[in-house]
Amino acid sequence: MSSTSKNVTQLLADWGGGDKQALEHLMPLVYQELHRLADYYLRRERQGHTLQATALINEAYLKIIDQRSVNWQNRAHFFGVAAQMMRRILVDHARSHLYAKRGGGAQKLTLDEALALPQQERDVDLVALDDALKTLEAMDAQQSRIIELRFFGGLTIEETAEVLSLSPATVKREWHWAKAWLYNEIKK
Amino acid sequence: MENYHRVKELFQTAIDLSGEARAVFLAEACAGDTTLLMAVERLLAASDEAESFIEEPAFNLADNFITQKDTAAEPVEGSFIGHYRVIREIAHGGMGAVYLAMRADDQYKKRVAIKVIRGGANNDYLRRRFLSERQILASLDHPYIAKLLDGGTTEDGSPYLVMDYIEGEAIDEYCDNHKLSTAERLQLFRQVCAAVHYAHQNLVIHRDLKPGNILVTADGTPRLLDFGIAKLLNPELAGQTLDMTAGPLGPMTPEYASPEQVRGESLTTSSDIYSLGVVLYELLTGHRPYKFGSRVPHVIAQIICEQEPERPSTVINRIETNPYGISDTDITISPEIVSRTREGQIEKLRRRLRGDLDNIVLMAMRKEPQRRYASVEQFAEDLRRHLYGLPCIARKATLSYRTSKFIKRNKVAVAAGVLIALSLIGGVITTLWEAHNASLQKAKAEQRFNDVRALANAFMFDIHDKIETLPGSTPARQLLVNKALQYLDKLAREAGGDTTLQRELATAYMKVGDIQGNPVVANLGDMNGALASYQKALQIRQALPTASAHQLDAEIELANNYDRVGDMVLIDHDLNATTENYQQALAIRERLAAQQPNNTQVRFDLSLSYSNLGDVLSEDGKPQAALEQYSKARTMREPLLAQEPLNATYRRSIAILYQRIATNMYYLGDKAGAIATSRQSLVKMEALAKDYPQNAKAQREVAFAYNNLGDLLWYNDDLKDAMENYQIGLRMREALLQTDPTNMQAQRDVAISYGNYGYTLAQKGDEKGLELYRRSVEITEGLLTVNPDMANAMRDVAVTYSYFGEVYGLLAARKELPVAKRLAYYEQALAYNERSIKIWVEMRDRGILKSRDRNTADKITASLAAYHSEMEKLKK
Repeated sequence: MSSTSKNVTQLLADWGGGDKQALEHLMPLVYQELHRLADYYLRRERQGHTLQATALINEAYLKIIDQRSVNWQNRAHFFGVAAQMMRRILVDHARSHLYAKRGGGAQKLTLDEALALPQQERDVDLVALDDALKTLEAMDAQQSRIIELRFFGGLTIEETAEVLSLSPATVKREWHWAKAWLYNEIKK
Repeated sequence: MENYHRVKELFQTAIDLSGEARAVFLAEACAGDTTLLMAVERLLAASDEAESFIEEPAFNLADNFITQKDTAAEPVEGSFIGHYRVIREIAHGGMGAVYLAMRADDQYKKRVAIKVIRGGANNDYLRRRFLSERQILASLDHPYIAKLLDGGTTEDGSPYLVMDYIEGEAIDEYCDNHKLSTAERLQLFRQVCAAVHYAHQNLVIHRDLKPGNILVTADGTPRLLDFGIAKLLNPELAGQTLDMTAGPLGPMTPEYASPEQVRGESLTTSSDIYSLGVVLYELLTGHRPYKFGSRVPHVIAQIICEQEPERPSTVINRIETNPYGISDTDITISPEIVSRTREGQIEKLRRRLRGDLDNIVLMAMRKEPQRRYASVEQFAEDLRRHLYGLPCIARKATLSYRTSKFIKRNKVAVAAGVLIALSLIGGVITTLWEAHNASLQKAKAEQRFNDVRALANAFMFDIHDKIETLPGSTPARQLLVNKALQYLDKLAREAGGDTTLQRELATAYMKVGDIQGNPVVANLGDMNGALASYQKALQIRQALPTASAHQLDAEIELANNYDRVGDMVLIDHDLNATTENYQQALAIRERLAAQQPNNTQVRFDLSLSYSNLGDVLSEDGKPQAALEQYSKARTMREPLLAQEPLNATYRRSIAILYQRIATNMYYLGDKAGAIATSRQSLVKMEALAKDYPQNAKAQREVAFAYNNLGDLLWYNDDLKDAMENYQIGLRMREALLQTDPTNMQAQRDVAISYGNYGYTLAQKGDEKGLELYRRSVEITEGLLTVNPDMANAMRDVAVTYSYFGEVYGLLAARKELPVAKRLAYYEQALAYNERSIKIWVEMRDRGILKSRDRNTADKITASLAAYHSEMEKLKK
């Protein structure tokens, strides 16, 4: 067991016990690990292989948490933090990608997005989404947690409900609303 | 925020309901709050569209994006796209890829770039579009423009375009890498302008000019890519609201998009001028004109549409980190870095940019297309003039440039300001129309058609409504609306079947009518003209098809239109016609209120119908019946005000209602009740005027209330209190007239106040009353010459003459005056009363006499006997 692992486990327990500062120390550590993992997977050629965000977080979890000394609640907390970190990683990734498109570099003839046909729904502008999510956060914090866990953390409705200690029906209702709100906000 | 939670709550209930049940629930829950209803409905619609939105976790999306290359069946080296052999991929992205290729049978081995577009669901549509448009684009033949050579669809149905392959650097990088001086940058930029101007002459708009599309080859020649292709590939580009996540701009940096572009309006050559302006801004300063703190599309759009860019000569002083709003990069722009690749020293660069270049760049980038350079050629010419030290066209933005801001700042000069702006815009319209008539190109004509329409509507709604309540704005309003009407009329003739346009036209006629003679707003006193305009609007509305998406709006407008016609014929005292029109409006509104019992607009409008019918009955000498209608109106309005205690319309409408109730109570003989009600009204009016000190209408109504209260006190023989109120009213009205001297309503108001005040003075034996009343007579006579046939103007003169006669009679009765003077006064008293009788008789003969005036002439005639006998006594 590495010192990081011990550290993270302790911080998680402290945070679960009500120590708010523990979260501040915890986040960079989780971020580091997730970023490393995500980077590895995003760059790797993986023909026909799809990695789930949850799998990634699980992998990170296994790596940096000492399984024997955490309870279920700590795990839920971890998923909450991890989803938030995933959001940051993916949005940053999207931002740097935006930059790459604008800057010339080696690409002389850039495939111009202005030429693009209306995008498929699955192509989400993560940066715009992130901004809209910040607006939502200010009005309805729970909403943004649900989006983080579902969209950035890759959790199912049931898993999200578990992490947030809500009923799956409530999460579903809230999820529908949050989707509509964000979709409307981004399209506006 | 509060609204957010309310919308959410309703949304979550409604989402589980379907069809009818949902509609019923929402109608009830929103209780006529249309804003709330629309918000919930918009989100419910979004919910349907967003079914698969963000269902796939973000990580998987990123994953797909990266690995797309491996999974898609992309052309590889040696394969063919049409007749072209792929050499290698140059670039790829989410929407396809660009390949370097060579025509298979080309012995010169000319290299080309091929863009293959992926993911188009409507390839058929694209293909057809290609055929018609490709020809135009392919005909662009200019040394600085990369030529579109060919196009088609790949075997799997993806459209592709073949164009010159250009090896070069983006213009901004080229300039920096070669450390070009400002003058050299301008020369290069002028070459770019030449190419864009050539395309414009060939009726092709680029639509997406930016450094990445302007390459400079090793020998320093600019080559423009992708001319007109944005439109070719996305014909919906024009006329649709920009959706930056899914729309034409996609996730690219929208820095170069013009305000009209981000608003989704149709584009003209002027949009290219704007984008060129941004490119030049960046070339000269190394900075971008806007900093977007957010990637949320509407925030970006707002910045582009509203924020004024900083002057090039001052923006270079800024130090910016991560200027493109991207984290994970630590680019810093500083004065040193900027000047290093330009003039060497920051001070030198600042001097170079200050003045002409500031003005030229900002002129190209103005928010309103019509205020930019008229053509790219003119833009380039101004740069040439600058380079040669000649005076430039570009100046700092003038006062009339930002009309709305100007209006806010400078209310007194507003009329003049609007006139200046008008003459400028008017010139543009004329040019547009000439172009239209010359029927240049169909697309171009359509474009201009829309421009004119947008402009006419801007006149009518934006500018007109902004200045409507300002004192002194009547002539400017008239000019505005007349112009707008002229253009809309032309347009409506061209596009007869366009119902939206027909409605706009009807609205235009209504506004013209308001300005001509709507008695409740500042007007020009042309009552006949107003009636004709309202009737024209009504005809247009009646001819509209009944089934339309905007049915509720259209019905509300139709009812309003009936009301306006009714208002005008009421002034003319055609009571039957008035009742008929008011009843039509009532029928529509009662139907709407039954359909939408919670719609506040509908409820309020219905209350208007009741009070209108009360007005006719009051005019018809039926105060009891009038009071019944007013009472209905009051029962409807008071709950509305209780719901929204700050709503100015409700507040005002209730205050006015109290006035009318007071008047009719007086008619019924309840003097004390009338005075008390009138005082209540005055308190409400004053509170309202205090809350809206800039609103001329509110001020006018306070003066009106003072005068009315004075009348009731006067009738109650409380002369002292009456005079006090008259005096306050007169002072207020004179002040209002001064701010808007041509306003006939204001003139009439002043005349009435002079009359009331003067008459009461005379009653108290004060000779000053005579002079004051004379002012009233003069103004009233003046108004009659403008409207010789209007019943009301005639009635005003008749009433004024007889009262002026009475004023003479009152003063003649003063025994302390010399006999000769008293006799002379009696003569005048007789003369003015006889003039008055003549007019009453004429009105009776013309059939425009109001019912309660039926016996007035006889009464006056009878009163003359007293004067005669007094004169006889004096003569003895």
